[in-house]
Amino acid sequence: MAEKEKTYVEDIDRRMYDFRNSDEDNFHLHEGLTPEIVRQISEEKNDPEWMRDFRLASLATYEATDMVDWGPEIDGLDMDNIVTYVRPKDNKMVADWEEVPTDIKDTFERLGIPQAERESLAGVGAQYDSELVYHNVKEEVAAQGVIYTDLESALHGPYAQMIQDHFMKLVPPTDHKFAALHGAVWSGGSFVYVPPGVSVEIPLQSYFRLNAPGAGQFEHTLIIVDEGAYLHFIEGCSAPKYNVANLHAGCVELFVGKNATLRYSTIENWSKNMYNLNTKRAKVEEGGKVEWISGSFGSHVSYLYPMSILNGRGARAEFTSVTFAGAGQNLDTGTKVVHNAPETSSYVNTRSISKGGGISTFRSSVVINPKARQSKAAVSCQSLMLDDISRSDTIPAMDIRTNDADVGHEARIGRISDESVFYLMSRGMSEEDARALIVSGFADNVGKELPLEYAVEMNNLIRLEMVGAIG
Amino acid sequence: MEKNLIINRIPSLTYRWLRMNETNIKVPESPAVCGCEVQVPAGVETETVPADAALALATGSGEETAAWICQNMTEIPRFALKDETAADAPLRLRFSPAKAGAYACEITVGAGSSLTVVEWMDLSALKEEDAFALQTRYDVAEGASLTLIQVQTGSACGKVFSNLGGHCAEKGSFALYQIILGAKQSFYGNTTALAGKRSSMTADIAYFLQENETLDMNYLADHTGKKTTCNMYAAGVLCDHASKLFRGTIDFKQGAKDAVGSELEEVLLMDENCVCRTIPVILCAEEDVEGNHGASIGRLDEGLMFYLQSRGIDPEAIYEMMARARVEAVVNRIPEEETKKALLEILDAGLFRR
Repeated sequence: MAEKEKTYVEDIDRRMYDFRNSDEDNFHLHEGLTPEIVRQISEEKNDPEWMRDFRLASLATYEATDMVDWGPEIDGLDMDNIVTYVRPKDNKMVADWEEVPTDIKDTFERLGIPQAERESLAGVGAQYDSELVYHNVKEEVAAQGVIYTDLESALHGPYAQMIQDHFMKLVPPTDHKFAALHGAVWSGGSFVYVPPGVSVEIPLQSYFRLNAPGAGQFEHTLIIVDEGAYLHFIEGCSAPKYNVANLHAGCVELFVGKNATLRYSTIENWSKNMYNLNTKRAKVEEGGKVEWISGSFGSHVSYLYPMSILNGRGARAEFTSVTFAGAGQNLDTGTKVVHNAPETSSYVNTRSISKGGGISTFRSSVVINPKARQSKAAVSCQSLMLDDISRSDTIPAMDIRTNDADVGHEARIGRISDESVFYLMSRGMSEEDARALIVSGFADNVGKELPLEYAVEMNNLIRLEMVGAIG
Repeated sequence: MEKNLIINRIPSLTYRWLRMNETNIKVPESPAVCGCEVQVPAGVETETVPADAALALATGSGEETAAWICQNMTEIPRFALKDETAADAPLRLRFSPAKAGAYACEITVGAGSSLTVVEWMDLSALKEEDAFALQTRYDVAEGASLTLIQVQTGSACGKVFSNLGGHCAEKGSFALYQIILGAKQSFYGNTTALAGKRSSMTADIAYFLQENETLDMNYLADHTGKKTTCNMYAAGVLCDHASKLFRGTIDFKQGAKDAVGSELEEVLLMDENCVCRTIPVILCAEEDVEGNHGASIGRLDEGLMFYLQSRGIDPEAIYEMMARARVEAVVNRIPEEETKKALLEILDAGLFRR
């Protein structure tokens, strides 16, 4: 019998992201993590007093919290060697790309951010190392009452109380060790507020670029979508690859009001020296909906589990993701959903591909509490392994505490089913075309949810070449 | 005197806040050794082996549990079926302890042979403060088959442990049937090492829990051989304030080419205070495998309830009927008529104590 040909799947092409600027002239804090460093960050930020106290308390929580005993090893991450704050020497956030320092502007030009803003976005925030260098929102969007600003200046303006009421309430520093770290050294990030009934038809985007070697990025994104409003928020990230570890411990907190909808899309393409220990959480009120669209292609190690807390009757969460783990990568991703109210629903649809020794783990939890009567939850995860040196694990958990709920879960791993191929062939396709169609659709669950420009970018990250069949 | 025991630890840990990775319980510090009635069919030889020379096989509930169960045993009975032999009747072990205790045994099935083993735990004489533990290790040689049927009855018993662990050689097959009815707290675990090419394991588990009963399970199919298969099916009914935790892991190790593993769980939740927790896991280090798992959890379909009530059947009778159907579906798969008949009689007498 002729040897089965295998489908060839290219590695992620990182060349367009793997460029770097000199870091020599930038301002760096000393490596490591001490109360003094935290105070210095707070001074740099001109924090209000409550934030400075918050940072120091978070540091104490970090010191007192142990590391989890599950998940990928992070032995290569030594906080004594991580610089928690780096800023350009002429640190200034502007609303005009022409005022951004040339090397930084060129960086974002190469990444296509200004172009995307011109063509298809309602506003952009661009963060370079620890600081936002550019932030702008289109006039017509601002005229609707939409606030899209950097979080730090919002701490002092008319939204200061709103920020204080929401900041790290969904993800408290006690949540886990790296949430506490974030609370101590966070820097940069955006605040978005969408007033009741306002629909922001065009997405807002934040882009995070970490240029400095051995540095950490700890941006905080806080979004409040008020009653009946709509927003699509996109975040992207990248970094050049170094031989030393970089750390990303950002935090995203989303508050979705009554009957509001928030779509949160991420294309994560950190370099392969990055430890991505990010925390994202949404709280959804009655009739509200959060949609997570997530493409994870980068990092050396990832711990990433966007969480949805469905607190109001009829609240809904959808989570759609694709993860590509290549050589040198251990990507532990998934989602968590907690149903706390009646008639809530959640739908999880994930895909993962492991190749070249990469390790991909899908880890999830669905909790349905006693009050969540007539709730529904469905989880579907599919994994494709392309060689026998890679790994793919699925570890879903369900905790159901009411009998008045419908919960379904399915997972598949391995190769293309012969039945699917037979079905397509019975419709007139050749075997090769049938297999090609099945595989090309495998990672499409995320691509079709993104705006076209981002789907193109995502598809540029994964190119599937079909030569024969998988397996 | 009691001690802490960590039992049923899942091979791949997950979020600690879920409290599903393992269970920490109090057990009698030094369990007494208890006996059982044994019916040994022709062809099966009985011997004893020193406890420290027992089969070195991993068990589902873990090494600590295995050591705890056997700590007061100097010898362990081994039931061995020689090569190329078909036993003419099942090997039956019946446990009717009057007081708390533990029992461990080994079962070896020679090449090309087949054996059915029935382990019936009638714990009705035990009380809430009592614990009973049963440990069975098994070795299935090339081309052999072992069918192990376990039944647990007796609602007053405090804690019940069934700890299994075994190995299948090339084309060896292990079929496990477990019917779990009663006991305040039940702890079940099985690890089957599918080491031989084309070896297989199936597990059909049914349980019915009511009042404040709990069931804690940990099953692992460890695929290292090529073209190995496993199929785990767990069907259960939870009533009142009953609680269940099912951990099922299919582990495709590197080298297990063309292995196939599937896992399905179906749980019927009768009352609003039940707690159903489940964590079906697939671990995969091999490319050419097929693994799938599914879980369906919920209450009686309202349309079905309406239909049956419109036919004059009262709700309590409907609950009894549907609960029985869930358990009976697994009972009917048991390939040993005497055990099946006895179980159907138990079902006829009714499952509900309320």
